Amino acid sequence: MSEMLGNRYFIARQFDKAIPPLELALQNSPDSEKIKKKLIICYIQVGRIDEAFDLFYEVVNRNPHLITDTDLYYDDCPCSELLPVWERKRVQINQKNDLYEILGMLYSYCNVSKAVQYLKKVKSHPTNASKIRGVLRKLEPMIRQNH
Amino acid sequence: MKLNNGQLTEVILDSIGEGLFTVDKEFKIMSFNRAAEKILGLEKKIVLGDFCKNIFKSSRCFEECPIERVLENDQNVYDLEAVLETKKGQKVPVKLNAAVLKDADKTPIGGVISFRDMSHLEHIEKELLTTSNFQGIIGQHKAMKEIYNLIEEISDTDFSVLISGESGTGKEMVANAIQKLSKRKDEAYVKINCSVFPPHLLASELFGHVRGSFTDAVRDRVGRFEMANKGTIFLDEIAEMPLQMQVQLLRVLQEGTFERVGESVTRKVDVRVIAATNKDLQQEMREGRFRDDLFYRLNVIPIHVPPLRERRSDIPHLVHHFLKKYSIVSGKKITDVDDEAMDLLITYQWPGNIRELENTIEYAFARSKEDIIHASKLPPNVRMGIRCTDDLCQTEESVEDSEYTIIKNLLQKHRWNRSKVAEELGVGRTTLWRRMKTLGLVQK
Repeated sequence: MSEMLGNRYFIARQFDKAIPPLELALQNSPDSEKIKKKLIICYIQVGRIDEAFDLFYEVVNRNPHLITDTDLYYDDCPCSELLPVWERKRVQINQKNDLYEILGMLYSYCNVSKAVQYLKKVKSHPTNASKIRGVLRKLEPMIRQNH
Repeated sequence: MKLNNGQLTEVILDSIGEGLFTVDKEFKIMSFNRAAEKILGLEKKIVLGDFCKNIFKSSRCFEECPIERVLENDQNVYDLEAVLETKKGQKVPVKLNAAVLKDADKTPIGGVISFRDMSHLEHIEKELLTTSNFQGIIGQHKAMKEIYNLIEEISDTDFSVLISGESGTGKEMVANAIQKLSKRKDEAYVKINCSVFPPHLLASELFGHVRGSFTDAVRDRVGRFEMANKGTIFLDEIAEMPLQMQVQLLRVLQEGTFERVGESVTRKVDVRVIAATNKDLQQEMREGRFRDDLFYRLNVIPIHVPPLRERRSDIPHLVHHFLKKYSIVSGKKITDVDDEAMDLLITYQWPGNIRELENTIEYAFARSKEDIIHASKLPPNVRMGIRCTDDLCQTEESVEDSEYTIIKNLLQKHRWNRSKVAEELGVGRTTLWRRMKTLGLVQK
């Protein structure tokens, strides 16, 4: 299993299959932000939200631009396909804490303001509270800069 | 001026007649040769750096990427059929090869795909289809017309079909016609030749397997029945299927259920089965090699494709069909065979049936320099009228008898109008007259 195979599954949006080769590739290249960015989305899509957030926190903490500067086309980011689906779920499901977290992470690839908006809603999440505050500390100044 | 390594590679790639491109490990296009530009109408400077899926827009990009297959199996892919899209949105059928590029540590760092434009073959197929009598099948013999009628009659049904006939008679073409006219025509159509796989692999091929179920099962694999779900499966050479497997096939036919090799989960499929054999299944049943219950399940609609020697009146039509085919393929204009050659072709036994006839025309086509094939250009066995010794072949006398019967029946049908008979047989009037004289067919 290689990083290339993981990339291939990611391109084909087979997120569950992409996880094992990408995890293996990350073991061999622990600093690869490209792999981490893909794994965050894969984890979200298979419901491994805590693992997704841990990685997300790690990347944002290091340099939030690694996520926020994603080019939807040239980085083949699937957020534009995934966000409408998650937004629909937001309307349908009552249990919203995980959803806010998911939407916060996904929006950070393409729309920082919305990402902050959603992440603020999960501020009270007991397990990730400090990490979310840390992420917001990194993202909020970016909105102000943009304005 | 001396070329650097990169430029030299580019020159080499551009000199190749096949389209070729390479991708990096992210699946972004890194090189794109001139033939690829020409086939797809795309400029290199536009495609470089973009994801291959954004450029080729093939369904394979999402479902079964050839490079993915190489990465998974560590085996290169050859001659895979696919459809690519040109800049203008036209579909181009291609056959492609795929390989993975690795670094010194054997880590995949990219892939290479080469492809051949197969549009000309589609053109040939369309051309030939217009001259065929039924869904690509050539033949106006009564027995063939009955088959065409039957296929049309069963087009609304999902019944199993068992096609019998000697090797080379066109059983697969009959199966294709059944599928093309059926209500499942837009669904998957999966073909498998049961004699190709050793018994232990046939089960895995038909029903799939789970990882670890046997030594080479390194990952889960979908079987042909699952691939054909909602569609049709064509099981060629069904008599070669081992008895144990026949039980499993019977269950799929009766209940639509099966299990993958090494798995206890029962799966359900909805597949229409068309089977074919060149063996006498009654005999196989008597000798205990084929299950009675399976035979009756398959034989709901039996179709027997007659050997060529039993429909000699179709030979001239088939000859002209193959002449047309090879004219288009080779660009060489050969439009006819002379009377002597046609006589030989009509009287030969054809133990290999239509397949042998096609090979014969191809052979003569290659040898002929004129626009007509002379008898001297036919293969020696046909030229010498060598009769096979196989039980299936008739004796020399009976060939004459059958030819006598065919011509006599046609003469009676057309009230001894030789022009009409010659036309139906696809031979010249002189040839017909000569054969009539030889056979003693004179109007009283």
